[in-house]
Amino acid sequence: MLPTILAVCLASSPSVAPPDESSVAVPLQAGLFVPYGTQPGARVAVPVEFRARTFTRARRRRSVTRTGSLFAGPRLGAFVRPAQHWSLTAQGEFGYKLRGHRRGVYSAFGVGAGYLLEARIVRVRVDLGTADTDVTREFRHGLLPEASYTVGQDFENRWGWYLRPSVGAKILPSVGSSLFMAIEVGFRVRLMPRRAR
Amino acid sequence: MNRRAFLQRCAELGATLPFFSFLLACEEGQGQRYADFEVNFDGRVIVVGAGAAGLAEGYMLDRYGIEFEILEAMPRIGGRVKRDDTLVDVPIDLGAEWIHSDPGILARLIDDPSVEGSIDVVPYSPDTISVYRKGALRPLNVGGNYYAEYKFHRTTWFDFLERYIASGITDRIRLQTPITTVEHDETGVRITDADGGLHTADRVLMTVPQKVHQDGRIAFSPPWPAEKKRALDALSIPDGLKVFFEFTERFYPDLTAVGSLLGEGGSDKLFYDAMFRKDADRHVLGLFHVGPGAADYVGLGDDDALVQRLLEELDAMFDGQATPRFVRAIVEDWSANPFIRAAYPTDVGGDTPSTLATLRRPIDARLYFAGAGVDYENQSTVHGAMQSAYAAVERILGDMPQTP
Repeated sequence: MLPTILAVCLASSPSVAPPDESSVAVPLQAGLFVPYGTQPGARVAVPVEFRARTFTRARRRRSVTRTGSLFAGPRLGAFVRPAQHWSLTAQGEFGYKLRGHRRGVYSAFGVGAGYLLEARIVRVRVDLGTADTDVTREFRHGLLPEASYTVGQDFENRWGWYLRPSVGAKILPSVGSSLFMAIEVGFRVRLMPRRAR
Repeated sequence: MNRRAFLQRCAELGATLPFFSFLLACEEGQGQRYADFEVNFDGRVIVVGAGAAGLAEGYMLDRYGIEFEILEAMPRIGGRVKRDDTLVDVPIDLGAEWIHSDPGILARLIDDPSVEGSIDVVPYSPDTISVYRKGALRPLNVGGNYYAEYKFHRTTWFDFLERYIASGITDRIRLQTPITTVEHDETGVRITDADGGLHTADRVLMTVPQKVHQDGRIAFSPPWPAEKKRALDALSIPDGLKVFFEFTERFYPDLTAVGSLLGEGGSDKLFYDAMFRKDADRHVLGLFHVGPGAADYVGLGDDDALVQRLLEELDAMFDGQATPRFVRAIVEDWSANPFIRAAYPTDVGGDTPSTLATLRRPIDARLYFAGAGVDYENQSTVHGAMQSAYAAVERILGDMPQTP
């Protein structure tokens, strides 16, 4: 399903020029974040690019120009498991992005790590007359290392979209580690474009 | 798929049923009030069985001022709901243990806004999960993200039934009265107990375990309709047992699923931390085993031999850590109980809704049926058993004409 949506999106999008290579902006990513496919949340990130390098490869019919760049920045998230817990994440991320010039499609690999706060419901008091409930929470602190692959597209204007599956580990000192996996989909906007020096 | 199998498969496969947590959470607040229908009956009712369904039936009949009596074969109420106070400082659910719904179901089952009081429950979503298969114990903590239910904090299902459901009807319960025959005709129903005592009623609600019917422990005259008999025979009701081990130290994860989880004959065997979030000082490991594999243990016929065999298995799973830490154990063998005889239906076979509807269908407007084994929406759960009883009450009192 998802590959089909992506393919349609790519095929139907206009052939756009890549963002002005002479401009640099602060990119903001914001999207729906769903760990384990069941715990909805949101994430925002500011993956600032640097050390961009453009290169062209000759193909049989035409040459292909791409820009590779490193990126780094913070990534903040929140998600909830209904009736169980809500969690906050604050991570730093570093990676490499490779963007094509014809359609603005890019892919990126990133690694990151950070802090996880989990507010877990440990007890529920049920009023037997009214069925009202009152919950007691316990806060747990942990680490969240993560590796991600992002595919997305930057349009000619400031906007774009991205899809970012990730895997990692949820490390809680009182529990140990467990597999962490998430899917993130959202929009990307370039803020405060300025002329490069 | 029964709940245990569901849990095991989720634990191993992780993402197979990703929206279960959502569904459980979304159940919250979807309450219903039961006692709201017109009563067209003023006769006498006999309820056979004082398990969750039987007690719920009595609770609701009492509310409507109907004359009734509950006949229970065992010397205690509860059926497969049972409490132990002897092993540790926290009461243990020897029988039904999990709340397979949102916590508000407890209030909805009581169905009385004037009730004052509260009950603490804990979300049961294990942090640490392992799978023991082919001689290897593998962690699979991610499975906990796909499974969540509730358990009582420092009380039990039995306490809930005893205090809020059975407390007002104890004088209507006749214990140690196993029945042997049920005869009905246009004049009413006559029940004979094992001591030869005769009990008469206008309507009878049968809440005994389906295995009791399968084994023909109660003779019906006239016999059940062929369609109902076929539906009964279609039920797979495997052996089942629970064992609770006290250890001096904890060496086990929150949940350990044992054996092959997929395919035919997959076992349904779980070791679990019975003190999960109960704030207890002692360490108790529970075993829940319902399925074809349970027959091997039930067949041992001796609790000491059974515990010894399980300790050997635990030693193999946990590098010999079980036996040196073992203090004592309690065995609850449903299959060995002559009035329970097995676990509960795990496979209805064929068209499940149709089969269960056939099992619930009254016979000649005299015999009614309820219990964990015949409820479709919440089969094999305590609240499902109680809800099926409430539905039966409505049918008995609301749909039936006046007695002759």
